[in-house]
Amino acid sequence: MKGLLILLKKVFPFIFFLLLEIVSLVLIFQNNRYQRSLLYAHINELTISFGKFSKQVSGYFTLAGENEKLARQNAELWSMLSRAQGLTDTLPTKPFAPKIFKQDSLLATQDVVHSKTSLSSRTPEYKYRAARVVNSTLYRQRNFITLNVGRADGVRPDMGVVSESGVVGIVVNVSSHYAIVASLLNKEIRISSKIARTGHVGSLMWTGTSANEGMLSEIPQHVNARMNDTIVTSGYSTIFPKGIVVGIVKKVRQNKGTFSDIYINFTTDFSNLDYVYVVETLHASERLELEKKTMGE
Amino acid sequence: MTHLLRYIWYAFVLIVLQVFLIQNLNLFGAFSNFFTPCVYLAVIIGFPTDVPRTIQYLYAFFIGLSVDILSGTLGMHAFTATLAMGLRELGFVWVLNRSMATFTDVINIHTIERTAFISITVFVIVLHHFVLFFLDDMSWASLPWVLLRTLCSGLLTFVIIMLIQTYYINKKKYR
Repeated sequence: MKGLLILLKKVFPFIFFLLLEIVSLVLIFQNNRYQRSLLYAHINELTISFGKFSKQVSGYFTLAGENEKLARQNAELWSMLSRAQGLTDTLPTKPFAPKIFKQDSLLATQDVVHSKTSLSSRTPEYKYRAARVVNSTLYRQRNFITLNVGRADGVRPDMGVVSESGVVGIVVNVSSHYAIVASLLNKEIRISSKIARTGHVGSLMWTGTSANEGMLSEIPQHVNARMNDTIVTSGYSTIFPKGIVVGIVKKVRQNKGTFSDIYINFTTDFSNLDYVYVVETLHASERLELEKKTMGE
Repeated sequence: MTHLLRYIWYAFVLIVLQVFLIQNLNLFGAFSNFFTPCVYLAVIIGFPTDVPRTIQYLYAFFIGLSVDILSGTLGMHAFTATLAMGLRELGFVWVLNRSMATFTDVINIHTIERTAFISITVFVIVLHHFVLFFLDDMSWASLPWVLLRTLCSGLLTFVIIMLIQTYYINKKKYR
């Protein structure tokens, strides 16, 4: 207590000095209009920049939540887009027009006879679910990705997984809250893909050498694939919708046989995956059953 | 106590000199704005150090406030005069390398080394004038003008203080 008093006695003159200075400043800004206006302007500026700064900081802390929200919105939008594409695919062009075989329009040629009433009753073909990557491998011959969604979220094996930049892989195993995805970097995965420019379909697989190189095989030699051609999913399987980007052509090698090998760079960066989308093909089982019954397999 | 009263009287004289003579005299014509010395710094720098520090600050504050009231710049001289008193202390501690507790005497050009006194005076004058003129303008854009005013007015203040210290205090033999 005595020490405190001594300390107070020691610092009191300085506190008194500060007090007098504060009184003087108050007098200045209360009684001089020019100084007051400048002070207000400065305070205003300071408040605005502080507000901006605190918003930036708080924005940073809420980023995770915002990301999740955006991912969910993305999934919804993609579902809506797939529904819209389903509708446009079935739009009749002219009542008796000859079949125009356009690229990416196989469905259009088949459904040209659909009446308009059938359009409104048509349900969307695909449903997207946002998910987060919780684990992944890159340097094995069979690489897998673990997602934070599972059976409880409606995820089942043989569903496709895509990201904003392209195809990621196929769900191979699920527990109630997690799903294991065989990524494109898995030598057991084959994806039916086509060259977007020409429409020729082949089978895509990982070369097993580098984390971004794949090979599109079974493309006839007469097909003129070029560098930088885009490779997209064909939509022939029940796993991926058609037209999702897989990679870009890097090199074309002519084989001795009838097919050429097309080497591509995957557009998905597997070392930097966070949010992905699980694709559910809504009538997959129905289609598969029909195909199986018809083809007798 | 008697010298405290004497210093109040000195302050009164210098305030009158400051407000009614120097600030109204236009000695330098169009450049008067650049040459406005603050003569009251003479009593602030020469104020006895054996008086309690709170009294020292209060003394400076009221000198400044009086100048403010009489010249319509409320707060500005009060702020800078009090600051000058604090700076004087800082100067003593730095230049003379002594703590404030050991000061029991009057400090002027005759009681301490001439160069030490000049250093402290210049230090106080420059900072006092700079803060005063900056408070007047309050804009970084006019910083060159503030510095020029500080230089011109500071030089004049310095000359006046040295004259007072050399002739007036010497004559009175006040120590």
